[in-house]
Amino acid sequence: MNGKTEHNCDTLIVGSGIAGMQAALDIGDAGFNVIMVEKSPSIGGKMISLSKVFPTLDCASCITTPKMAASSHHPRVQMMTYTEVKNISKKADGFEALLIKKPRFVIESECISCRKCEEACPVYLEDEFEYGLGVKKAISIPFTNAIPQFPVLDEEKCIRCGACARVCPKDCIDYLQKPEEITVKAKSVIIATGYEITPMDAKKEYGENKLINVISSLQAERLLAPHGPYGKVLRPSDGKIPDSIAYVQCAGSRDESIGVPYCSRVCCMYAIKQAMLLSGSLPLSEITIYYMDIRAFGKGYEQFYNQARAMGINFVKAKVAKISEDSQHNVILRIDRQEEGSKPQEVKHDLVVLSQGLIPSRKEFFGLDVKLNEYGFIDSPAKTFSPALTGIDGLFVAGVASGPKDIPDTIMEAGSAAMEALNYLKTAKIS
Amino acid sequence: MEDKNKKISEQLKALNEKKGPVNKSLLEYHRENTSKQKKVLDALKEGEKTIPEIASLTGLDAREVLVKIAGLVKYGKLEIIPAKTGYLKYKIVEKK
Repeated sequence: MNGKTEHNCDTLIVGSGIAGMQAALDIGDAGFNVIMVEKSPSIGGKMISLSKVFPTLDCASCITTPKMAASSHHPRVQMMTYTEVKNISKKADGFEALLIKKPRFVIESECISCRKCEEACPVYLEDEFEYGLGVKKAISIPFTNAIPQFPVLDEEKCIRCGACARVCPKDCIDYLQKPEEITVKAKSVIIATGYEITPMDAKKEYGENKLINVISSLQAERLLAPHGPYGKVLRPSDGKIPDSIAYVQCAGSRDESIGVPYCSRVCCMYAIKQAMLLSGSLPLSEITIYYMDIRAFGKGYEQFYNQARAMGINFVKAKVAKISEDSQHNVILRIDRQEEGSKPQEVKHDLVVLSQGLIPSRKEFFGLDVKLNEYGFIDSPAKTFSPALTGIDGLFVAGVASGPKDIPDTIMEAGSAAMEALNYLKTAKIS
Repeated sequence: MEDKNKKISEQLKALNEKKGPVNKSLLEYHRENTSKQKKVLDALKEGEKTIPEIASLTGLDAREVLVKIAGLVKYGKLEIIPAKTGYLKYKIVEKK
């Protein structure tokens, strides 16, 4: 471990997705100092990896990148990326957080982001930004519009050939870099840790993540993204442009048996969005959505759903009982149509996307004695009137950390959390 | 340049002493990966091809060919020839 450093701020924000960034910008604009901590090498959260947003079909990256740039350049927002929060404790005068800045094995103050190290590296690895579909090098900048634009060396996968260091024009590769311990003293804290999706193997009857052409909704987002892993939507087994694509709704939500009995609120709309995008990029492909019921409330979502129907997306009211594959890795769905008199039937598709649900990103929140609801999301004692409150003075929550929600609701809630934090900073007796 | 190389060698030596030699299975994975990538590139020397064509020529699994192709396209060694249905074709980027 390298030396310890200590920082002070008005608000510590944990997480730098759209909720964290929005709260940071609101508080910074109000004249208070923010530290935004992110465990990944870049800010931007899940949203930066999405293709487009519903119902406007605006490019997600085009919306997120300006927020990322604004937060990283804001004079009152300090970002700490590739930094894990180990513990946050409540003190009489605020909070104290212990952070560990992980080594990138690159001297950040010297790096000019030229990518020469990445070009020279001979080791190709699975790319987690592409959810396993694409490829990166053992030293690489996480993605094209990452902020900051510093490469990270995967020390476990590095073969220590020295190629990256030899080509670096600034001599900033440091193979011996150590983690750094950071203490942050903050008057208030906002938790914006986002979500994970239900695991691909959550439902045993859906192939247990062993069927290559059954992909997650986030993988589908990457296939649809302009700089996606294959440059076009291709099925992973053989690179075929799929002629027939299916979505299985409620594949990780509304199911007591997998511990996710709640509706994740976004799956219907993201599936419809992806189906519409697919129909644009693969106009000759047939796209089917198997659903129990479509939840499309407010914000023009119902119109969006009707638009998808008008575009020729097939909506089939059916439960998918089982997913398997044939010898060519074509996916076979055993469906029970929800119509009187219909019998179970088997249908074949080239590619299947599971519409997984949203689950909490963490089991516990940094040692804070914060109340969680029965599903593990942070529970607000005043859900109806002040959803950003947590029951702990000075601690607030924003975004999906308090429960599944879409991007507009996340941004509104982040604004609410920022306002609660500002009120607290102005009125509470904290030094 | 000599100083730079010396510094890198010293750092790598210190790293090897601290962590032990590089894991054999990692080196094996890297060698295998490089050899498969070479097979894909060799298959494309004769002209543009689809993934099943490359798989059939090299004896590699089509899924593996797709992954190798993705890396080679990302790092500028191959380019994609668009298609509306069926399979895309790939060709080696000509050096200017």
